[in-house]
Amino acid sequence: MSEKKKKREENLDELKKEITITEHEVPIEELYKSLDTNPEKGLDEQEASRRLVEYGPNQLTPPKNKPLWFKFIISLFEGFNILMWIGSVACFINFIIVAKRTAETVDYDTMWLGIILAAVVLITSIFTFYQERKSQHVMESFKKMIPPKVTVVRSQKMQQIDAVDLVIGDIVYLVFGDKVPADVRVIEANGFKVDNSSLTGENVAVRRTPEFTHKNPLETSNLVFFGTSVVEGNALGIVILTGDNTVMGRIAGLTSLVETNQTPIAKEIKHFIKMIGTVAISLGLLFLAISLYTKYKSGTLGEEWIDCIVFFIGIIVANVPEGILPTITVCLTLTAKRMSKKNCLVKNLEAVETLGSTSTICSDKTGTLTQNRMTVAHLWVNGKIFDSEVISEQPRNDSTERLLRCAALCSRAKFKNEDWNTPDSKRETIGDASEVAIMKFVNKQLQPVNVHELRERCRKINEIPFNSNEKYSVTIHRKENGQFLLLMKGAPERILHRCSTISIDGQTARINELVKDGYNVAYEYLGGRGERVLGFCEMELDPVKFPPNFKFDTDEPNFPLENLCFLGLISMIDPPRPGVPEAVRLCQSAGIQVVMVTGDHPITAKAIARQVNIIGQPKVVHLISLETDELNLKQNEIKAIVVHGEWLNKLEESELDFIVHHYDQVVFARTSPAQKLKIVEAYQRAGRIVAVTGDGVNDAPALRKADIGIAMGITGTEVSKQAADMVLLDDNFASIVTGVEEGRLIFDNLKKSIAYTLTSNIPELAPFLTYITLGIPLPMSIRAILCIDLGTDILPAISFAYEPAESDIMDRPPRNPKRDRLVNWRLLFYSYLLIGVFQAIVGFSLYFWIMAEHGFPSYTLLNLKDVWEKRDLLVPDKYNRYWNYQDRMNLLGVCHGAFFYAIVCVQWADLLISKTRMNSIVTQGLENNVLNISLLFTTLLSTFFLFTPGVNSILKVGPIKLRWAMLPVLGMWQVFAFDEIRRAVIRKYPDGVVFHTTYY
Amino acid sequence: MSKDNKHTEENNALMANGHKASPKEKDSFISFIYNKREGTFLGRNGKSWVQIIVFYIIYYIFLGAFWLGCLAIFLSTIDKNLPRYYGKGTIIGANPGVGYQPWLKNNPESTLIKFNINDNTTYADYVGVLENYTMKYENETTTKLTKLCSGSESNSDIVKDGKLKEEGLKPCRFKLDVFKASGCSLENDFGFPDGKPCVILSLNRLIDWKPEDFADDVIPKEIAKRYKKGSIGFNCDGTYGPDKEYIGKIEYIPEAGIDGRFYPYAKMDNYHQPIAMVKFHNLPRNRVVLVECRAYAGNIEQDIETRQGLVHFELLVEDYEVSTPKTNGS
Repeated sequence: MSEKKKKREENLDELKKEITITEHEVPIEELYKSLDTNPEKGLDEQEASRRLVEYGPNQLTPPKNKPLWFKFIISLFEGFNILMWIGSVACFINFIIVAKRTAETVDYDTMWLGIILAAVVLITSIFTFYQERKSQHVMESFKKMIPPKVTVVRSQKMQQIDAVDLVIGDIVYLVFGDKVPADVRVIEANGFKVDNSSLTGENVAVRRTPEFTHKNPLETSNLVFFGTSVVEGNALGIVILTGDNTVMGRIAGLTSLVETNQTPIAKEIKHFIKMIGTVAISLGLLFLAISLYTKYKSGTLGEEWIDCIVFFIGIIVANVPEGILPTITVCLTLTAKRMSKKNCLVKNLEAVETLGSTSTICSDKTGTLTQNRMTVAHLWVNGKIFDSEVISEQPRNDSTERLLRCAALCSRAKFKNEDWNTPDSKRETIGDASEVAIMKFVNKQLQPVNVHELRERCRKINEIPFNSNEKYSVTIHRKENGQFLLLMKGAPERILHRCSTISIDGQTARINELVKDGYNVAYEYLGGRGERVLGFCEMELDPVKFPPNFKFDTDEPNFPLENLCFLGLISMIDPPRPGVPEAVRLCQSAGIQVVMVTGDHPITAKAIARQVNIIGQPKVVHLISLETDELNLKQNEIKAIVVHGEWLNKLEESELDFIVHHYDQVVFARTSPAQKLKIVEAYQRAGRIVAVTGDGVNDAPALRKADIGIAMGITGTEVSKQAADMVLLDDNFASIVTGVEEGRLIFDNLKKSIAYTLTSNIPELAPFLTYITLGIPLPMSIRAILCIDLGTDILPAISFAYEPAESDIMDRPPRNPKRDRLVNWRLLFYSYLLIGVFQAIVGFSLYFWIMAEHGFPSYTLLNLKDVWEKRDLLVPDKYNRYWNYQDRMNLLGVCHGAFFYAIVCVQWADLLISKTRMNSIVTQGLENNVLNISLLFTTLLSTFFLFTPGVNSILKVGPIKLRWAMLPVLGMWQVFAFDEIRRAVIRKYPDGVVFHTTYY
Repeated sequence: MSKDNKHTEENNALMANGHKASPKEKDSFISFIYNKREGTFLGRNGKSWVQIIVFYIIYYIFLGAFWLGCLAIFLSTIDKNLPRYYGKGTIIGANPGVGYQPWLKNNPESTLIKFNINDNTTYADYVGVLENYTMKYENETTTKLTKLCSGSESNSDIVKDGKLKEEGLKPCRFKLDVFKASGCSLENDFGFPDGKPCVILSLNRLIDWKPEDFADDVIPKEIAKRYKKGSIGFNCDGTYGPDKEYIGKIEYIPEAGIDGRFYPYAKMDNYHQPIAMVKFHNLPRNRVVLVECRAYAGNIEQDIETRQGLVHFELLVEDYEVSTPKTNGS
């Protein structure tokens, strides 16, 4: 067992390391040889099927799901259920002991209690299970169930096969629009670009060629990876890794190895059980000692010690609050429902509260904080920067028109169809994100003409595609008058370098230092905002030198590429989602640190972080990247930091811990999946409760490690959703804030609900204790107790789930998981000793009164229980009347009914006082209609129990008289008034004795 | 380089502090009950405990005083001679149960009367109980507080609305002469030595209850022959078929049952509970007989479920020689 665990840890460590692949380094011929294949023939069918058997199908093995019944059985023994099982088993033991001793008449009540306790566990477990399954189903509906096909060369033939059947050594043909079916080394490429965002989170199309350019497999040009998508061009490649062995597969595998933490609410419930257990056992032992002592004194210890054991078990059972388990479950479910309406789908019920305790959110950038849609943000034209939103309102001149024309024509992006009526934002496009962004922007600006018409007018004659060395692309067009137009776009500094003139205000001017300064200011400004900047220039080719039949040669350019005319800059950014900056602010004011963890470039990351308030505007940011090798951590006044991923790799664990402790505003850029996991662990070490958002497969391990993993419903991968505890149905960070609010509210309300439910434990337990110690006939039966715990108390306890917050819960810091417990001793003291004892006293008063009115004054009841319970005995009362067994039981039934009613009555008051912990009910109001209805419901239900013939005989509770009913009403008002005063005192003296002794 | 190291060390030290702190706060059960480091018991320190205890003592004193006061006021409204609830519609009701004697208090679960006619130790307890029970009727000091009733005199004369009309009024005296005459007295050990035991039957005392007469045409056939108006008739029989066969002759003393003049009952110093006896003349030997005795009056209903108006007990008369213990080996 331990060996297994060790092995698991080893595996985990190995997986945490960066990926090592060497197949991209060896010469391609060697690789063919070692994989026994070649690009013309491909594998033959037999070999392929042999390898398929050897290496397994090319798919990610889903994490081993335990069978449903097994999961269910496990859930039966989790958390509060344990306490209930112990109670249940104790009941059966008690029943068996008693049944063995009394041959004639057996009281089946304890047995039934045992059965009911077990039933409550079963029912709530089934309920929980059902709820969680339901949200699971919602998730499964996201799955897109189209089995991908792939084109391969096998047995010298090009053919389509299922991607699942792909094996190592297969030659695959990839075209744009495909998902890369395995880890593939590129053999041939034509304008081949892939989007690695599902792996790195960085949403940029990167060119892939057959050349080996970097040792790091993620950086090298000749590898493409399973799960990424081809956005441009086509390529031929050789499969080097399949299925679980792929980079993506290993990350997914890492996920299943990561052990998850217990949810905070589960910890709280454990703590709660511990407390209840302590109370139950100490009370039990105390009364065991008392009863043993009295038996010893009366000399009957020898025969009757087993009675003491029975009492001991009885007390322990009586301490089990039967109603808590269903209450907690239903409250969490209700909140989960409410959250899913607000786009937070909770997979695991307990995770509902986790967001409320969260103190750190590690958020993805792309798609969560931003829109995951490149958008043109600014233009630099006519020597000025314009916001893309307002450019259309600006007066146009020839320079602007030329820039727009250049942007429209010098592009490979296309709309997929010709439907010009649908808004641009919804149309499907082909091309890389930047070009699409520009095309969409230009299309809007060109109205009433559209891009397509403009391109028809100026046909593209030839082009030089973008390459990473030159960093520009060129297109040549023939205008309607037959003249050629050369357009160029690319990295701004390269473009400017090739220009001698610039078009400003419709005039062409020479580029001088002044212009260059203006350009530099603009470029740095835009770059500093994290925007991707492209420069544009053009040249109208001389119709004499370039007659209409001129043949352009792009391999050896026979046309000018210098002394062009600079047109301007266009910058793009993936803008923050609307509402996100406010949401981040809200998190911060709620004491939650928002940390950005992204695969993007530090500059971009920092810019977005500033825009969404993760980094406060006026502060100096401590940027640590490879360039600033020296870590100067002593600059205490700086609270913001941007950490570069490669630098993170070099960090000692303690240094990372320092960053985590010291900096409030943290951005991790260029991070790899393994690092994300490291970051989460560092925050958890610091005692934080960490929420992590993510959508890619690469995020799955971190999602699982986090206290609450939040996956994206729309863009999220299946693996990430599986690993997460919660799914954001709208991918919007702002939805998390709703979740936080709901989580905090439910924590407060559960506290109130538990305070309410626990209170009635004392008036239920006290009768049994007096029965044992004073020997009075049992004032309260098990049946009546169950009527309260699983009857009249349930709906009110649940109705707390609808209780509005007492004050603004988003204004206070997240709870300290070590100090702010769900149930603390104060709560227990308050519920048990303050209100509970009050309730018990009211109940006993009523009991003694009723007994006295029937001829049994309190003093005659002492030690009467033995005689009282003998079936064939007649018991004389104060008036010397003889009571037979049946009449005595009827009288006791009335007492049980009255005691039951007394508890219901004071629980009414308890419900109202538990609504608030600090405020007066006047401030809180009675707007919780579910709670109001539950008050009515308890009244009706208790009436039903007491007065319906048949029902009351089954429950053995007698109907009570109106005159008796008045006494608990008095008690009810007293409890209500008392607690209002208590809370008034707490408000008046927020640090006084009353606060310290009774505020829970 | 050295500069770098220095930083790292510093940071390590810084971190180590943070690290050491966390494992110490381990939530062990022992430290949860008593935390030595912080001097807290169940999470509170000494001063806090004192505060809490004082707070609760004051609270309980006020609470207790208030409710004891309330209870005292409520209880003072109850008449000490007349219960608040009696008669029809109350729990104790207006339908008396039947009791029997001898019934051994030291073995209250058992309703079996079992004895060996050849061994007086086996029935001494029963005789003792019956003796005790009947003694109060002849006790000088108590009989002084009663009067002999004759003719139409009855307890109705001194009781009104469930209470004695005034203090000191005397209830009717119940005489045992009729039982003595029929061989049910201490003199013959209530018939036990002969295997013809006497069993006392009585009704539960109910305030303001007295027997009502049967109309002439509805007198139950079991007691029709013996019935006398104003009385409560009794009839005993075997509970089941075989018992009915074996039970033999039963003598009712007096024939008509209990005289109604001893009703109604009210709380008083020396009420004489009227009784009737049944004498079983030829019970089978060494065989258990289950007996059911029912009381009959116009306002008594018999109900086996609630045991109203009837009583069950078992009789076992043994007859074998008592072997005096002998030493083995002779």
